[in-house]
Amino acid sequence: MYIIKNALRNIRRMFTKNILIAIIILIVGFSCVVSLSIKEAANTARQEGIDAVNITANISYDRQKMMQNMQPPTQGEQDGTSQEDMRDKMRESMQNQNLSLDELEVYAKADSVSDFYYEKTMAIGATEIEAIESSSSENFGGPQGMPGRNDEDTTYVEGDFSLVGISSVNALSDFTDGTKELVDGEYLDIEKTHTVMISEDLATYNSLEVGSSIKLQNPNSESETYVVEVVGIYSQVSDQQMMMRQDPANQMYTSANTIDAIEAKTASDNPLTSQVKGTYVLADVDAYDAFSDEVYELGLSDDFTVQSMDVSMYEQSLAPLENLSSFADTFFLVSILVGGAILIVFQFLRVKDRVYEIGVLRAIGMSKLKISLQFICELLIITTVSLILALGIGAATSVPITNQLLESQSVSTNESEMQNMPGGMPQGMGGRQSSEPSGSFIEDSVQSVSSATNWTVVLEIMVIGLLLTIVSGGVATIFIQRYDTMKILQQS
Amino acid sequence: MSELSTKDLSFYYTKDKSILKELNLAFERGKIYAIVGKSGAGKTTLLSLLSQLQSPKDGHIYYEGQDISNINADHYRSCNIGVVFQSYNLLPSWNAIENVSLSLDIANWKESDKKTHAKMLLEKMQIDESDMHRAVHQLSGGQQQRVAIARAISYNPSIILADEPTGNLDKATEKEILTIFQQLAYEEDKCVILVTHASSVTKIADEIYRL
Repeated sequence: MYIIKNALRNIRRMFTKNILIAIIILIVGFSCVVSLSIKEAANTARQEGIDAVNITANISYDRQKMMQNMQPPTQGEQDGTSQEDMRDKMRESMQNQNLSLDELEVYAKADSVSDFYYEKTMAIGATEIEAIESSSSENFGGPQGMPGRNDEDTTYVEGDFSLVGISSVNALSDFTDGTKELVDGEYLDIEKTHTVMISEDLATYNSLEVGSSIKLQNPNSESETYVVEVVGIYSQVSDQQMMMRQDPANQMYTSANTIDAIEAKTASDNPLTSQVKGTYVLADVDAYDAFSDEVYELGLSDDFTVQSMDVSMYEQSLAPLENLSSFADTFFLVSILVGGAILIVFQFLRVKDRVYEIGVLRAIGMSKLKISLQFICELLIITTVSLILALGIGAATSVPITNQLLESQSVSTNESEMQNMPGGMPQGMGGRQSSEPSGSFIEDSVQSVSSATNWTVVLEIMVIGLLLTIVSGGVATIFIQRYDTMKILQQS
Repeated sequence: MSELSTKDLSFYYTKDKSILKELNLAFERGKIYAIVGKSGAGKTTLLSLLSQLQSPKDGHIYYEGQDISNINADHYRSCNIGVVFQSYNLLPSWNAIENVSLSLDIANWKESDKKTHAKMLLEKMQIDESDMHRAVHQLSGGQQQRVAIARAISYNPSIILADEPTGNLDKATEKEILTIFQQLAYEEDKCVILVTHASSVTKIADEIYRL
């Protein structure tokens, strides 16, 4: 007890020197609080955000893996034959990249899946209406052929419209996330066939309204037509560019049953076909991780991979905060090392400065251990007070500092993204079909945090303070152990 | 039985030049001892050996019949002997009460009010109330000597060691200090060992050891 009393007494007596140490610890502590708060904010934002995200996942062909597996021809093999072999292998792989609905439904039985829906997309033409920015293209070799492949005799014309057949209203995610909005009529009844929802632009361009009929046509067989009724008109709320040939205004929504009916009826040489895309709804990130493993247990080929745009987009949105967190790690490490070194030097100087006192205390019977404890206790009290102040200041300023740094980081990351995006399309979004204009990265990213310093930070700072005190106190102890009492007293 | 004794006590810094050689001394309670000798004879060294601030090269020191090398040095210095150093060795920025109380703390003094006990001792050493609260470095040499004695006797040790206790004092103060040592020896049954070269000190000694 008297050690604490003496420690307090000594702190008061050497107030000026101790204030200096306290200020240094305060600065180091403040740096640590801000660094840890930034990290904590990043962790909290990640956890809270990921908890709030409705996770959906898709199974898609792993093109990256395919490209890795395609070994480039060696120097000696760079003749026409080897390169042709490689192209053939790529064609073969690309042709096998779509899973059937039956296969997709197998993976929907995974325990981690809470819901499953799909959409079938079909390129189709129409007889009495015109597409916006008509982009009919001719392909060779049928609908499944590689673009540009010209070794077949047949010519395949792709329709100007995109007919999207949904199996569930849940598939209308563009409407739930606000990208699109129903402006007239009603949503699709997925049980019905031959009803569609069309875009407002398409409706205006062709003077269509709710109740109008549209005659769809197989672009490769003029006699093959299908009449559908407009039940709803939607508008595009956000300015969205589509990474597909058709203008997004030419997209029509219908039920999957309609697509099935068309596919059942089509019988020309160039039948209308659709591509199916399954969407798996998962409860949380853990379920997403579990699903990523379960699909392979259910027989999915290694050539396919599970991707979640929600998770990818969220990860992307956290990029500035993650970068800041990484910077905070370095800053924290430097602060700790510099702070620790300063404390050790100060403690060494304190001991040297008070050699006479140590000699007197030893002469009157105070043990070296207790003297060391007193020095440690003094530093601990100074450190504790400084760190409490550092925590207070840090808690008050870490949020604005974090947000300020985050804003700078968002701009920096955005500029970096734009540099890496020829054509204005963000990269690194595996499987991302539609993307916002490049400048909207900032809007997507986490731009502010509401809290940073929490009890975890408080605990971490206190543990750090204790460790620093013990380490620097240990240095003092070593010197105290080495002092010879008689020599001190004789020299003084 | 002697309170403190030495048997064949030797000490040297270099082997070819002994400072103390096979010294056999005995010190009893209730007596004043004077250790005298010319400068460099080893008087202060003997005091440092008796207070276990240094260890003998040869021989033994016994406290109440027990070899002090087997006693914890810190406990021995904080409880069994009280040392009054030539340069007092007080904590200069601490006041007189704090210096005395510190010894009581280190000695693990059980009585509750250490401050009152310290004040009582300082009063006994004729330190004024106002001086008790001043930092020691603001006190005169005589006052510091008294504070050092108060500190040495505060935890009631059986042996008092004093190195040149009157070296820095005027005649009047010297007389007062020597009276205090006489009181400690004869009234409180302490074993008082004074290292000195002053004849005034040897005059009050019951036994004189020459080195």
